[in-house]
Amino acid sequence: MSAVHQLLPVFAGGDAIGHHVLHTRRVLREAGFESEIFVEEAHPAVRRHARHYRELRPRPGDRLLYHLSTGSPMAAFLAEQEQPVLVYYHNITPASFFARWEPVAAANVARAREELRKLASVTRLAMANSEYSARELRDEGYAEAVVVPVMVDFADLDAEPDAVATTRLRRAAERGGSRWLFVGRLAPNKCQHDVIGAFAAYRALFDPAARLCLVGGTTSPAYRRALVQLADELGVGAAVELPDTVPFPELLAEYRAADVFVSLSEHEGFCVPLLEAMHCGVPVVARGTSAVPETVGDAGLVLPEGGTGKDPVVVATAVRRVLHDAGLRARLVAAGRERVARYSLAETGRRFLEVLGAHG
Amino acid sequence: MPPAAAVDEIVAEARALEAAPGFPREAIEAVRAATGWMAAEATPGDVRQAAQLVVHQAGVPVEPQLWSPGPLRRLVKQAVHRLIGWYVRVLAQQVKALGEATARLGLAVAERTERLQSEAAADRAALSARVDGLSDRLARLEALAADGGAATGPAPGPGDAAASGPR
Repeated sequence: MSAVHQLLPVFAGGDAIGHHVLHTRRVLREAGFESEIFVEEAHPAVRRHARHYRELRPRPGDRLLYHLSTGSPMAAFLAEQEQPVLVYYHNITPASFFARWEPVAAANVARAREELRKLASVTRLAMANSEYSARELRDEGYAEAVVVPVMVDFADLDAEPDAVATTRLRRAAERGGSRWLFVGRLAPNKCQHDVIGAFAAYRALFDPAARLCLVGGTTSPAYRRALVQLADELGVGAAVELPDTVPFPELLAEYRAADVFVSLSEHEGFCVPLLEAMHCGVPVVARGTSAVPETVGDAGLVLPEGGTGKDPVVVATAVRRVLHDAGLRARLVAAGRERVARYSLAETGRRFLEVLGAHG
Repeated sequence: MPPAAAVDEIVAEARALEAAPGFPREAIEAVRAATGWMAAEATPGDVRQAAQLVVHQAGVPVEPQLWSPGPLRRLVKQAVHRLIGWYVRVLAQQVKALGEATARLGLAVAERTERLQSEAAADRAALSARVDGLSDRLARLEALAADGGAATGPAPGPGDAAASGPR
């Protein structure tokens, strides 16, 4: 039996890449392949699923699938292997986003891009989570790059939300005011500062009781501090919540309580939370940069890519429209559910095996 | 209506809102200014932006992540934290104060540079106006001399005062 082993630098478990890797292993095993996960670092919660990459002993005929999103010595290790290397590109945030805030992270992503370039010559099959990421692969010298969407089990989102969080959010809703939500790591490329700016404009123009919740761990502590200060400076500090990462049942409560999902990211390789919001029936307002238009399609209000798309008055007006135009809201919610169906686990798993089979 | 068409309408609506009386222009401009400096494409070489960044970078988190997968490591981390926490806090305050002082220095330099630039620009404008005035005056004098020359003969050349004197 041939094997397709997966390798990834950091196995966090709870993030989109971690889930994707676990789903991929299941799909591979169900299709009759041997499949193990090899990592450089693993979060304790998922450590039992993985082994250190130096323990990898591939046999002739095995294939090695590398998940590339950050810099790692694994890239050099893979380049030395005789077995065919497959790359799944989750995208690398350009270093320019971190240069001012986290110079060390900027150096890491710059190194990752260099490794991406070097792996091009030894890669048998390159897959990417979006056409946007596939274009980047082609630009970096990959002869062919195929889009295979990230595997997400949206059924997980139908679980019971955290009861305490649900009660807290229901009480907050009873006090009036709409609730904005964005889910994603606090990082300069996600532009949470623009979300806070647009939210401040929305409160000044339309709804002084509105609230904003920015769920996500911190990539840059300096950027996080700047966000807290920005909210205070704009007089909305008490209305902006930055709860960091939250347990999954609490995240479900946040999705259920949200009136609108607002993403003003400047760089996204795919952006799973957009689809999660759609699955939960939350209408999406997003700035149409990088892979966002591809992910959202016509199931959300996609604002222009340039400065207009992040202008606080434009974003605030868009949110007001979504919240007060019942027809538009219903259409977006229905289109969102249809959109998510295109990314169902069965569909993405089938696509992955199809691509794998076609490239023998 | 497809979402794309709604977006065009929304952009137009936002522009109309901004042009309407009673629009809170000052508050919105404050939002634009406060978020602008945080953008990735913020102006390179802007001293004010750089000074603001110093303040944020100088904040040292004194409550680190004490969680570890192994109980022994967790205990060691907690013990070290208890032993040196008070000192780290003092250091963090010092670093923060240094950051704020550096930022103030940066802002003072920026203000002084801006004032000097503004004074130099005013001087340049005054000088330019004076040169323009002199040029006009010269042109008027030349025209006058040409008119006089047409009536009495060729206009005098520079340093040709004797030639233009009475004969």
